Amino acid sequence: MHPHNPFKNFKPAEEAQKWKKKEGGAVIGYLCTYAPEEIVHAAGALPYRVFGTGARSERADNHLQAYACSLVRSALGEVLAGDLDFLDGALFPHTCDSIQRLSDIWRLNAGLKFHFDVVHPVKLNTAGARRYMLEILQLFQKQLSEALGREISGEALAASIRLHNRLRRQLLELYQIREKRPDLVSGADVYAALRASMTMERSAFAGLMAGFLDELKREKENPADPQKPGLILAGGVCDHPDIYGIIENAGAYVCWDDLCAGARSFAGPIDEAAPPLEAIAARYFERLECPAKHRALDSRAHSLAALAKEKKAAGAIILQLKFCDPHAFDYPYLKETLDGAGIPSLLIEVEDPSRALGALHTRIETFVEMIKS
Amino acid sequence: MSESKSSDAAKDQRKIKSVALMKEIMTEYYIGAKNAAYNDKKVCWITSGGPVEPLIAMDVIPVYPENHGAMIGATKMGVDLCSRAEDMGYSRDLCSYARSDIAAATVNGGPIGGLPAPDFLVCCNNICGTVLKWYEVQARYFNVPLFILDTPFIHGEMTAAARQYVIDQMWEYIAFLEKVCGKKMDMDRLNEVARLSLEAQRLWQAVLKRKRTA
Repeated sequence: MHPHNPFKNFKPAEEAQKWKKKEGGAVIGYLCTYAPEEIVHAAGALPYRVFGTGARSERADNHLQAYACSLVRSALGEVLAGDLDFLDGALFPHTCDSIQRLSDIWRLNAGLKFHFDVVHPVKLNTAGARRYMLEILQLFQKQLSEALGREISGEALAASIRLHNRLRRQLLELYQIREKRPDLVSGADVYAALRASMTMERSAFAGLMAGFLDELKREKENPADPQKPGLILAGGVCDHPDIYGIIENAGAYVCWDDLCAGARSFAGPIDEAAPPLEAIAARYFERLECPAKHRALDSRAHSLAALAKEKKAAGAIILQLKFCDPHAFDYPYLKETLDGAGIPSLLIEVEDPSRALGALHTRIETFVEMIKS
Repeated sequence: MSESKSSDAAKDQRKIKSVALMKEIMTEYYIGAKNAAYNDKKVCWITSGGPVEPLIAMDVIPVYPENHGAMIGATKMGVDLCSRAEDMGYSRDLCSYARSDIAAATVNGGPIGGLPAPDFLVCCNNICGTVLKWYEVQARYFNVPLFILDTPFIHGEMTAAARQYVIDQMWEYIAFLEKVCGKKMDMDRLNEVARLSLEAQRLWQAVLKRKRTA
């Protein structure tokens, strides 16, 4: 009998509305892990990640070209359909061209009370960029404080940082347990916890997660468990819980990932000894970057290869969201590096998360067969 | 007879005479760029919105892959080159200028037998974010230094922080050029180039605003 995953049936939108009714706080939507959620939480607001489910994209057609990715189309579609009416505002950190332009389209059409643009630097490797980053975080803190009509104290920021460090450590622990005991923690379990960590009130999440981890750690060792081949899942947003089941049915499992809504979201603690905003900025500079940012010419490829080696992964599955330019530009050199390191890889292009991945059973099964032999 | 004569005259009147001079300038420019190595000059690939004045002041020949992408399209050579880029692993959904340029570099393709290889790259993302990825690819391919001028997007008003960040980067740009060219920037020359550049822009504005006669 496995420990019960408290996030399995969590309904983000419902819960956010309940929280809002009970606490009277503001709910601020965001689409990307470069959003300074620590500052939002310190302001007594709920940072709510919008994943875009793909079901409501038609309304977005009036505002977007056909070749915008499904995250952008569905996020816009949802807010236009009124599904996100419980949001008081949205926070758009600078990411890629599509999200950059979505920000303005959203601001003009979504009808929410607040709108914040945090225009991060694209370069993450100069002193000037770090200075700039700090200044725009300070600007955001000021704008948020004015918008919500409340002070954001240094102590509140420090406490928020400690809390976020805690829940990121918890997510890391969950990943470590899943790595060793895929029989206890499935991909779907991890996916559910990740989504909750970005939509649930953060202290409530930390509390539930602590309980879940305790139960998991009390489980006995299972040396008889045959070692399934582990795979690294790479790419951007993984909004495809089906893929975990398909991989598991094919006889393998996802042992780690470098996904934006996965391991990259909880990378690196924020230095609790440094001034809060400087520490938040430093974390963005030091953690593995999204391909829409520039740190070095080969950091992502080397990190992915190193990750696969460290986790003794049998291979990598690269999840490519259709129309995601930054990831698509990186793919050839990622593949070249993986090939050079002797790591088998499979590219899967996904168009729309609302469509099932059933057709990919064969491809994934074939890939798993190949790496097993 | 007289009809065709008058229509010839009319056609002649509608021709923009400076096009011939422009073609001369462009030909000279491309020949200079293709023969840069023989003339001991450095070549820099730069984005369309990148500040070119510091390059001119350093006597570096600027080359524009985006223009090259347009030329490839106009001469109908894009289909083959883009297909080659897809074979290299680049998605069909990516910018076709980028795809055709990336492929052209590997085979010296395109209507002028390929662009002269860059000594270094300057990428300014004011035009779009795609150029960042395009230039990263070329920096890896040619194994040359890459300078990125990051101009933060302005959603409403330009922030003081953004202004300072870009000013800081202009100085970084000059330092980068001094390093890759192995000589100091002549600030008087830079000021003169900038002055000429501004004058050219004003003249171009005047041309665009000019009403057509007859």
